[in-house]
Amino acid sequence: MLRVILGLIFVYAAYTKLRDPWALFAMAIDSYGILPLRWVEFVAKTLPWFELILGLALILGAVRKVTTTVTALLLLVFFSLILRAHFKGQEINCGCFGPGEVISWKTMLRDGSMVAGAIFVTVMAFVRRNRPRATNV
Amino acid sequence: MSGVVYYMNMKLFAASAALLMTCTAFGADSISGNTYGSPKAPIMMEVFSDFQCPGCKSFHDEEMPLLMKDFVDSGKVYIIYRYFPLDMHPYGRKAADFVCAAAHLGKYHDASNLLFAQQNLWGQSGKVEETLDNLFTAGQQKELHELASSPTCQAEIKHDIDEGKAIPVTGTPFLMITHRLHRYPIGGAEPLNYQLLKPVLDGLLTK
Repeated sequence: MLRVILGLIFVYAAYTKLRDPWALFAMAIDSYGILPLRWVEFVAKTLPWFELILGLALILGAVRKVTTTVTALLLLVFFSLILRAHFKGQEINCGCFGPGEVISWKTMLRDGSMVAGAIFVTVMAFVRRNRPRATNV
Repeated sequence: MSGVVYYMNMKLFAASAALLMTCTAFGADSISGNTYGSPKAPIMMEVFSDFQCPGCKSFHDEEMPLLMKDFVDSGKVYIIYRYFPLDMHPYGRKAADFVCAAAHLGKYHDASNLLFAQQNLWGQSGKVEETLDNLFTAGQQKELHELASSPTCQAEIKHDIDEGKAIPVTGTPFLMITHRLHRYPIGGAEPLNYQLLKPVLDGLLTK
């Protein structure tokens, strides 16, 4: 259930970025001051589609070990960037769900919860696969 | 056929709603000369700006000429400059007062250009009115000084500041781009990069 919820969140995040010009998301990425401009453009054009595919894969439960691990890693990267921006005192747009959301403690709480959820789902994906199957006698 | 009628009705509704929002949100009393381009443009860009802000000077000197050339002169974007002096700039409010006054005397653009050009001078000395006096005759200078502290200008500036705080504007320059019924906030603490701003506007125009 948590995996499906994460998947829906990713699909929604992708939708909020794809419905508007890519350059709006690019401006949010650029504001973090991490990537050079040509990489900003590349990430802005590709990441929403990646989020969409990842979200659908999570919902469908496809290749669970891979999709949950990638989700957790991706969210860890996002969360780290948000924390970095916050502690540097940058009042910038999160870029998580479209323009207009300045990074705040609510953003960190929300994204931190998603990271925790993603890690849990990842662990469960590995644990369930390793659990021996019951055999009927 | 009923689908076509429904579609036309929804288009009419959307246009009416957009017009109503425009009339109520950007009343005529808050705009007096602080604009560039045609109000009929499909995109409206509000620039929340502080005349003593170095970033705003940079936007005025570097980005505005590009915006004018690529979008405003061709009727694609309508720009409204909103007065948003920051507390950290001791003469920002004074500059807003006097530029508003100059706007009422029909010289918004000249006053704005002059203050940004000489920002480093009056920003140190605080001599805002002395800087702008050069644009006016002796008689007009008296009127300028009266208008700067008049209820009209004070109300206009308050309107813009209140609007900015409601967004909220996180720093200057800050852009609020309106296209159809959608509003897109850009800038503040984020640097305004024209290489990214242009594709935003191009993208909205093709929607």
